[in-house]
Amino acid sequence: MPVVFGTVTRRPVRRGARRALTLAALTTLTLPLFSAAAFADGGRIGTHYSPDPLSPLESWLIYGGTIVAGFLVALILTALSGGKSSDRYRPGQPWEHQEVWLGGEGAAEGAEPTAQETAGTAAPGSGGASGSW
Amino acid sequence: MAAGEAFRQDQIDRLNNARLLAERQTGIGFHVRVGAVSGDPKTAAERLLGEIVGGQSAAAVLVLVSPGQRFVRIATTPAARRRIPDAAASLATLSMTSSFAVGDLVGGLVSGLRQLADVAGPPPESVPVGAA
Repeated sequence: MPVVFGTVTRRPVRRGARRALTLAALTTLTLPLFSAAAFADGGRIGTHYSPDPLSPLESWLIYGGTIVAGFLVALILTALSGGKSSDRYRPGQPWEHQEVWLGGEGAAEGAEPTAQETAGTAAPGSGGASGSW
Repeated sequence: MAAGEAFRQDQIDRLNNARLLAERQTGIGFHVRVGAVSGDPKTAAERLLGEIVGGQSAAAVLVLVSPGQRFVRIATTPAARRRIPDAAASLATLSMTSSFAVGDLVGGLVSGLRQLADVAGPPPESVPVGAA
């Protein structure tokens, strides 16, 4: 059965809500992670109540670890969202989906046309162009 | 994307928006079919366009894409051909195939529809909008 999509369905509110939820979830996840190194020192880093200088290891953990953690979060998110692209069209692979019609309801009822059925059906004066990839 | 579905809903919405915009802009009926075709896609496109128009002299365009066969055909009725010459249709197919070749079916179709609509221009005063 062909799939016909003749009308447009817009859901800007739903899309906006989804984006807001994604942003909230990412913020909730990343903020504690980024501040983990600072919390590891009891929250006394960089305040005038604790004037002791940081050791090189602590400095690297704070300034380097934050950046590394950021990259790790980005990598994890990329890996998690990568599964969605497995259905993406790739040239050369067989197309095993139902036919999709947009605005062609008049012809959607018919079966898949064959070369025998279509021989000599062009209207005089009709035109067009073809291409392949 | 669920198994068996060629496009996600947001992609369908994007395609429909581009198609309806082209129709409003030109008054020509634009139709898109994505799927496998048995036999010669060129003659299949002409047959399908004939069924859509139903023997009337309306201006209509069918963009038939067969991703499995890596083939695209833009078929125009005689009325549409007066506003979208074959050379312009060829340029649109070239634009589409360059996107299809990198796996961007939706982007290629949207770009092709926009290009065809730009070539056709606004509808003449005597032609009713959405005649197909």
